[in-house]
Amino acid sequence: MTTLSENDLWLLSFYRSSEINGALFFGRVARTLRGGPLQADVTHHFADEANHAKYWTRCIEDLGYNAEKLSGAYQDQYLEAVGLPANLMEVMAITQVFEKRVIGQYHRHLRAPDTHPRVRQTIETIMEDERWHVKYVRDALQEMARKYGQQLIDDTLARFTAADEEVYAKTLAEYGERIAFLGDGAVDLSVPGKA
Amino acid sequence: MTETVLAVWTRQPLATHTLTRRERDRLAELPRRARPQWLVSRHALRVLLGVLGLPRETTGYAFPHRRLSLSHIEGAAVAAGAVRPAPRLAGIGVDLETDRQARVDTARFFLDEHERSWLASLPEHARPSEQLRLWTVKEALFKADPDNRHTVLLDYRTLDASARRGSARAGPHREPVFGYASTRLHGAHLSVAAAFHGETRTPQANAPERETTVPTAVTFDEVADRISTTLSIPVEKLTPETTLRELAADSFLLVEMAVDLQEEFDTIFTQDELREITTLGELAGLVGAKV
Repeated sequence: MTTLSENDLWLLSFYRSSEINGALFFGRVARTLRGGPLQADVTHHFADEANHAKYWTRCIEDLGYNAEKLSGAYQDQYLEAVGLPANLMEVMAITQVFEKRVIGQYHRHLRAPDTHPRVRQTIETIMEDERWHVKYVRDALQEMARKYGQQLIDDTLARFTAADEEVYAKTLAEYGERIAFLGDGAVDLSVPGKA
Repeated sequence: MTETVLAVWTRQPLATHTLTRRERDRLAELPRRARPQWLVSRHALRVLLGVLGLPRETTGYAFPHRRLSLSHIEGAAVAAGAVRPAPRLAGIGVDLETDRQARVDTARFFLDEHERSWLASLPEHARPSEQLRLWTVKEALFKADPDNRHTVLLDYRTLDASARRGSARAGPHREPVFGYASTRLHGAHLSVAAAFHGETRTPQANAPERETTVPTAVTFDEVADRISTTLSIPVEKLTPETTLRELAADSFLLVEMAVDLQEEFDTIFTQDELREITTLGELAGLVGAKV
């Protein structure tokens, strides 16, 4: 059994919980979409998120612990800050903003000293999926420019990015001490669950 | 001149417990047999007022009204209103008629020579329906005309009787000029007309469709059917007064519902628009206004 600090266990459980919330989010988006490439991609994304939650559950178990049950969802705070997405473009724009923060967070974790190899392996496995998520969401937004207009998409991304930073700052204020071990002063607590 | 007109159609009466005191008083003044129909008409009007962001006390509106119009047939009603009334808008008119065999010899009372000539050129089996459609057009034009005290239906002349969307005038030189549109709705002909002041150009019969009044024909029932499917709620439990909060156990259900409606009706909602919506009737109206 590996010794995990309370903060280590909390963070890995936080990742797991966020992936579960991401799966629930994309499951619902997938259920709403009509047939077509985006439906297939979002359904794939939904399955990825569920798998990521499974990876974290197993990772934590392999380290000799059980994942903590965390209450409350980061998603709720996020939607409170940005408002409910009103259309499919906004759903994908939110996803893009989250994906960027997710990737940034996992990269930071990989750079942290003394990251356990099992944790590193889990993050690297997840990151393979994340790269594809970024690509398909970017492609989907480009495709949507014909319907929504590029300017509206750019404005929406800017609005959601600003809201994301607000929620990030709030979350950092609440949980910052738990992730201080990740290193630099600009530690980026983000949410791998995408929404 | 362009005017977007929203039409709300319903067969459901307004629930009496939602009536205001003035509406209850008005209802009580009516003969008992007239009350069910009045409630259906008020229902259509109430939903329309909500969508247009106007005060919802229905007794506060007198007809003819520059921005609003009402029509009803047995057991159904339609309320029409200008979404963003142009400064030159003089009036709105709506008329609804269920299919029936119109007597051909009555055409001379409301169709001019050109219109009757066009009607006569149609196959015999098509004439009654087209005659009825033109009746609704003339009724809508008459209602839209703020100065109709001395006019009859025959005074209103379409530039092209065959057009589902077109222009019309009341007499050869008189203002206002009119735009109108007709559509089929649940076994009935629905026509909406808008009258405009100060129009100087002569509308052309072949004018682009975007320059005519366009009624919307998305019904509450169509929207309710989609929501019933998305949220797995029996459609009979959905009424225009049903609030979104009653339906959605969590806020993301609203997102699912909104995205599904936009996909189904090929339209786009904004956050600002959705923020203003509290009932299904208003949501149906938003869909209708956007389609």
